[in-house]
Amino acid sequence: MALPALTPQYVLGLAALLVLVVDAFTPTSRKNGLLAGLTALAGVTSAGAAAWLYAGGAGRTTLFDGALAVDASTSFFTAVFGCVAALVAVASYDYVREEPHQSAYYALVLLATAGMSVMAAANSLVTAFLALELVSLPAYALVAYLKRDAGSAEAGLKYFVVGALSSAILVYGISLVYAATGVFGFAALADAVAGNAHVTVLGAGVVMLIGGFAFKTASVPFHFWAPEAYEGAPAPVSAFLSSASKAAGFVLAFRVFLLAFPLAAFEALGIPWTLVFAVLAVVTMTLGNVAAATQTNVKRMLAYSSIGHAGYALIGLAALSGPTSSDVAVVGASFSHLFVYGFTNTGAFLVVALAERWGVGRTFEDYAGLARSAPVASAVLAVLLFSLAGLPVGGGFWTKYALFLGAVQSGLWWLAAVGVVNSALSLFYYSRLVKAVWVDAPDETGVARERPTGIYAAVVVAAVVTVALLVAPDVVFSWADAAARALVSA
Amino acid sequence: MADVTTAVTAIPLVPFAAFLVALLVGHYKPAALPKGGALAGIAATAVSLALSVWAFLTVGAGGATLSRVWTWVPAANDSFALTFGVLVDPLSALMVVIVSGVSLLVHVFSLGYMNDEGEGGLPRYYAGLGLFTASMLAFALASNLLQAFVFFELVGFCSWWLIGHWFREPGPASAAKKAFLVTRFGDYFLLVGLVGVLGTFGTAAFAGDASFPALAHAALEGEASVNTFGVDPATWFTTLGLLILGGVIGKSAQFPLQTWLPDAMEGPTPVSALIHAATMVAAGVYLVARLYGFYALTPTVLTVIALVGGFTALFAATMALVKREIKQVLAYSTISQYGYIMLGLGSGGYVAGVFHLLTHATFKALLFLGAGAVIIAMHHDEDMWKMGGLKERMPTVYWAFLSGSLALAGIVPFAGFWSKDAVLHHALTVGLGGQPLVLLAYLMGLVAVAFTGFYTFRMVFLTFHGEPRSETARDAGPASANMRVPVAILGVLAAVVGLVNVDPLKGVVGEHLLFLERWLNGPLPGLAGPTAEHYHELVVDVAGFHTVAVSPTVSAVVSLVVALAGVALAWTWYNVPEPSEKTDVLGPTKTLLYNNYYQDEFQTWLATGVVEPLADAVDVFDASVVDGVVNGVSSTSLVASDRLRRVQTGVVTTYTTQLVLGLVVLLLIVLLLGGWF
Repeated sequence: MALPALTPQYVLGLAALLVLVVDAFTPTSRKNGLLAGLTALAGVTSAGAAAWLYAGGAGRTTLFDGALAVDASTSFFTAVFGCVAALVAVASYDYVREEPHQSAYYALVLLATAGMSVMAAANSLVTAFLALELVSLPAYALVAYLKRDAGSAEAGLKYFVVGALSSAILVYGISLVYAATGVFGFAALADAVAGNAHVTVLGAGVVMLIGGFAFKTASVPFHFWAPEAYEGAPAPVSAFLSSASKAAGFVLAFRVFLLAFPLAAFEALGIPWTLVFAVLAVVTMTLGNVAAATQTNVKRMLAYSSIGHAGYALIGLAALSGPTSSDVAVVGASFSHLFVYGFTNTGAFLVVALAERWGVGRTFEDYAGLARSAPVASAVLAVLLFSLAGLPVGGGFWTKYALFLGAVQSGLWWLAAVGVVNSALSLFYYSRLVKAVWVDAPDETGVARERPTGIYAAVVVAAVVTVALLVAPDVVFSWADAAARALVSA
Repeated sequence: MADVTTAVTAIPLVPFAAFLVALLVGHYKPAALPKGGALAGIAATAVSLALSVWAFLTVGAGGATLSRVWTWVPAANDSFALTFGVLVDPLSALMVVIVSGVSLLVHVFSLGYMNDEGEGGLPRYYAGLGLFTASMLAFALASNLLQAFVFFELVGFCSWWLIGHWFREPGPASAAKKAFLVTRFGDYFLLVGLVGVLGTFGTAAFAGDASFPALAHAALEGEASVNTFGVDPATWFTTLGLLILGGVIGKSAQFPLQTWLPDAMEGPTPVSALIHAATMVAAGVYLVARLYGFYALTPTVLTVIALVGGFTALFAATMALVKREIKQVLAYSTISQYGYIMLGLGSGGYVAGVFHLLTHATFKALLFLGAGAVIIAMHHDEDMWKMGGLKERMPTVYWAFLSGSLALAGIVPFAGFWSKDAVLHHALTVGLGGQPLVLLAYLMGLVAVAFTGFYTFRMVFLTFHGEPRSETARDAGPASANMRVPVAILGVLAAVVGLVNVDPLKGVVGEHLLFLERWLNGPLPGLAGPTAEHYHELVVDVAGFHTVAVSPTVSAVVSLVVALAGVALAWTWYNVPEPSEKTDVLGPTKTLLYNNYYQDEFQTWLATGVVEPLADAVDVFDASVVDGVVNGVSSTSLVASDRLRRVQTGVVTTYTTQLVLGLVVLLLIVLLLGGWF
């Protein structure tokens, strides 16, 4: 059966509308379960449709006069977004049960996911910007969802202010690029930049574009919103933003820079953008990990560690060197890193959501001895954190290895070295949390903990997928390779 | 041949399922587990045995198979893939029959040894047996060295598990740790060797045209080039072979890493039978046989194998002469007998080595199970000086044990005679053919034959003959049926299994009756390489081991006479109603032997007297220099981290300012580098 190329996007958008319709006709008591189920179903269906489209192997399809283009990277990332959205929806079932306006929450999650999957299909700077705003606006509202909670409201406002500024910079960058080239489409841009006469304008525009993407991926120096927003937002929303939204920023950056701004043409113009990404990668991973090292608040530690992970993924853009095979390898490594990270990081934040639901507290000390009362969740947390650190307990081991190898192979051994040092540092602060949970003695013993089904299911699935990707990485990695090839040799 | 692959893959998976059943049901619902998991284990090993026999017959019908079951890490970026697969050829088919057969009998015997005695922790015990069997079967069927290494390690882990079954007592707990650590020491070399093989050849496959033994051969012939890191290929392959041999020496308890094995007697006796006959210890020499296509290319490594084997055979036999406990005698005899297998393999006698592996598996399983029955009758008193006269009290066990002892001592026509003689004969012909070191190894092996005959029958006479020397021995009753039946089956096998390769009678019965040789030579359609014939060609052509024709009958008569001399001495000294400790004539030497040449003490001294001061010195360096650097980095990070927290003020206008400043810096970097100013 040949599905329309945009099926996953349609599913997500229509599901968002359907959520609002269902809300109008369902009694309040059963609403939460129904809406959460619908959202999770939409996420899984769109991921499944994406996998189906990839398996169909249609190659590249352009739509709407070249405004959108669907290829293997679109389906790959759409699958990531769908899976993360489903995990977040399942976990939210327990998290927002007592809150008002549940339909708005689920609809916003779906709309943002739809926006991300459009970002993954963007083929012109205009659609790219529109899709990015479709992600950002629901995200601001989601962060401020607990609006009676001062932290949540403050975080939403800060996120909005920084986001608005970043959007302005992005739009300004787009206008500069347009001024230099006169076109928006990626393919047309690739032709127009070669030998362009307005190098300064174009260069400034490209740096501002990088700034806009750095905001979405929470890379330095556009990262300031991240710790605040993740800390204040409801934990499932933090999981959603730090995994899916970040991956969306990356797929857009990869599409723009691989499809519209060919490296060879830019090196001829004297704008070596790989260097900018290399600098950003080093600064981002170092700042993220160093700042994470002394946090006392668990959620904030995870927020900074997620900034650090953006630094690792940036290696995929920094270590491009020209030969197709090595470029495919390093971009594919970055893609698979984002895939594994999508599950692992979501899972880690959802464990925090679980702890918030139990009223455990926010600091490392509050987590002491959690393993005594919640062994399953604590085991899951340990697996997820060690996989984030790159130990061979989860798929994160392979992807980090592939990223560093890619950096070394394209001559950026110093980048790989910085990455390794940072990984070692990250092991330090992840271990601190694992130690608190498993080794330290709890304040009070014999606490009976409820087991919220939704969050439990979500974290266990996240951990199982993480471990499965260590054992059988091939399924995902071959897809990531195909996705990378679709962009590198387009 | 997909169906063969599926069925063969099931051979290790079925005991693995039994392991899971015993572990999970035993933990959550012990009442639902009949006999503590024994029945599940018996059923699983019986299925494995049936499948193994079927695989054996399939190979016999020309159905040798090599197939990939699972790709762990696919090949990417010009690198190699890491895969798991099954290799079903005459060697592995024979091995899985041995392993599943011995394991089945050990499971049945355990019903008597563990269940009837009311031992605790039965689900744990049977789970361990299941995993042990599964690991060894998967190891035997491994298609490449990486997979073999994984299951090699699992085998080591399982022996830790089972040796330490009675972990609340200090002895078993310490013995388990010792077995684990000593074999792990050898395994480090194997791991380095494995990495070296992968780095050199880009593959660790055992069989086929693209396997690493085939590539190594081609490289020596100058027909292929491999990455030898700038070293001469022959030297490099020798290095790799020696590294892999490290793992073999640890697992097969060869000198100098044999010290773990006697201590491992602390485990339940059926476990000892399994470890010694078919799994742990067998894994080492099996790896040599598996890699024979590689070892046959390196005369130096072959000579080392032969020397280590010959020396270990003699060395361990001397220590067995004076032991008081029945299981200690058997433990040293295991070390000694695996020395013979190494001697056979090292002198180029692939068939002889595998033959002795087969017969030894039979009679050593028998002797341990027999000893287990005696130990139960003696209420766990293992001192032979307190036994005696058990012949009349447990006749089935006695006759079976006697059959096994005759096999161990190498008396015609019992199993050990044929295989040990094949080993010695081969070593002799190669030794006389211009390999003086192999000849030396042969002589050590020959002397050990006399010792073997002596210590074996010293054990038999002290245990079963004469008058009972204690109350317990006087009151001993016959073994229960679930112990007698496995012992009896093995007793018959130990008598006849040697007839599969009656080499000394070649002239009388004709070559077609040398079943094992024909089996291992067997045609292998589609699998270039691993036949005994091919190995023999390699040993002669590449390693340059030439043989001198010596009549196998002469060699057989020599070793038989030597063995009978040992038996005769034991007869005169110990087959009397009131035997005494005649080995006292050895004087201080006896104390030396009894204390195993003080090797444990020596190794402890190595650890405390050499390694510990060295470690202290390194620690000083580590604490001052390395830690200094690391602490410097981390304190810098932590200080920086603290500063960074202050940058994150929480004031959103500061953020926007910093954000814009960051952008400006980026713009400046690009514009400067672009050369626009």
